[in-house]
Amino acid sequence: MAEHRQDLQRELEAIEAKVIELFAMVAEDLARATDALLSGNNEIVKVLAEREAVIESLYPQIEETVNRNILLQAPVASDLRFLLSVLRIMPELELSHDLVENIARRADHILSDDLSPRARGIVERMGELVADMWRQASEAWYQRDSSAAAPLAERDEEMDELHASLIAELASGSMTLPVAMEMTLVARFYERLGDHAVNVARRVVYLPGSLPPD
Amino acid sequence: MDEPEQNVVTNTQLPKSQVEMAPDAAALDAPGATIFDAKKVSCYYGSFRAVTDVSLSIYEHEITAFIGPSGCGKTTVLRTLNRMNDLVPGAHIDGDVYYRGESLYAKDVSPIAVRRRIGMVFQKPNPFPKSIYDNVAYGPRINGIHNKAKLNEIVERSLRGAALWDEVKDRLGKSGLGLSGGQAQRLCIARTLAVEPDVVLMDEPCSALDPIATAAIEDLMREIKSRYTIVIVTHNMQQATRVSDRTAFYSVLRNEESDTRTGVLVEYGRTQQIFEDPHDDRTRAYVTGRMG
Repeated sequence: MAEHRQDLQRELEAIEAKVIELFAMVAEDLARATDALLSGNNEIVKVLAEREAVIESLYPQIEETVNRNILLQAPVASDLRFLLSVLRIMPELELSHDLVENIARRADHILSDDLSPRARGIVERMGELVADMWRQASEAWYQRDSSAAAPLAERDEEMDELHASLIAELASGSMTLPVAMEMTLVARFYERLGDHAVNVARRVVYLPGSLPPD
Repeated sequence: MDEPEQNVVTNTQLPKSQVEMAPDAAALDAPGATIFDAKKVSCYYGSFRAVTDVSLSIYEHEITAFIGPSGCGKTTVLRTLNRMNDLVPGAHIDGDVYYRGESLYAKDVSPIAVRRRIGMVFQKPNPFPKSIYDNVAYGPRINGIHNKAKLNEIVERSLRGAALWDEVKDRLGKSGLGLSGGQAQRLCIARTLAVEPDVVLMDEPCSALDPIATAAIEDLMREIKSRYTIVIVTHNMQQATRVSDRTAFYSVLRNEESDTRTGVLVEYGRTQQIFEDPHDDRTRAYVTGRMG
């Protein structure tokens, strides 16, 4: 049986490759951002800003390709579901990388010594957890594994608990007010990153299992 | 009558919210009366088996679309629904087609009576070389209606039903052959409606029409489906998605050994399911345009 519409197929595969690239950037950079924050090594901030520029160019490219294919190719079934799913997760990916960059940028203002040992421990755990959640979400997308959403939502509850613990620690007065204020934001960024990972994993359910074909 | 198994949407892949969001999903899942019940229908032209083992139910006040590649037997199946194939020498069927619970192919059933209840509109508009009025009045006259007032009323009602009245009411005496393609097709629909059928079968009714005439026919189909049951064969998948409630996808099964091919029903379900989440790989390949 001849396979028609090879051009469309190639476009879909190119979109998928770029989406995977975005996923990888979020997951990788998350770990680096936490490192930067805790080590005070702000070299990474520059690297992440460069990444942000890459994402800013990738994002409209993907969006344009998706729009064009929806408009001109009249996709249905697996093709349309893939394209719609991409449109839905793109904002999650872009926002998430923004949050990652925002966390890293705190490495400029906060010295790791400014944190109480307890706060430091919680941040470390939050960073590990959310990086792992993003690896899981990426894997779920890549493998078209819709079963990942439920365990991820459970892990997100742990994230919410860590967030509450960190806020309590910040409110305890063990750190200076400017540090506590900055760290309140950081806590919020991690918590949001967890939510976005769950959102992305939930979107996988609408992806056709058969896409992209090998 | 229970819905056949292939109609049950077991859409485990979709999130619940997607299913809930479809406004008429519940209505569609509880179909109206069963109009046709095809049971293991195989159609033959002489010794050539054009279609093998088709079973499906068609429901009242729905538009059912038959789609599939050339040679898949969709038109053949359509023509078994009003015994139109009887007119082809050597054509016969195995299995049975029940119309409102009664066998269409029982010995005592008159094919003429069947075609009166189950009208057909063809691919190419084929008005008779008569006036617009006489085209529409033709069927009722054959059925014994000769009262002028009664005929006038039928002609007007049918032309209105086919959304053609306003365009032709001042030239009812002019030839039906002078109409545009889209008007001629609507005239043929009016002619079909004039004998007050229960079902309208349409065999690619828009393939010879431009997009505007096509849109007019599609509007018309949606308008009249509350009074009739419609089955349409179409090569235009967008047309199937626009107008139909259910879609049946047929394909060609090749037997390499005997070098023969026959049409089979691959998948039948709600149109949204067929075009959003086809369960069979062959359906997916066809609706996404991958199959060659």
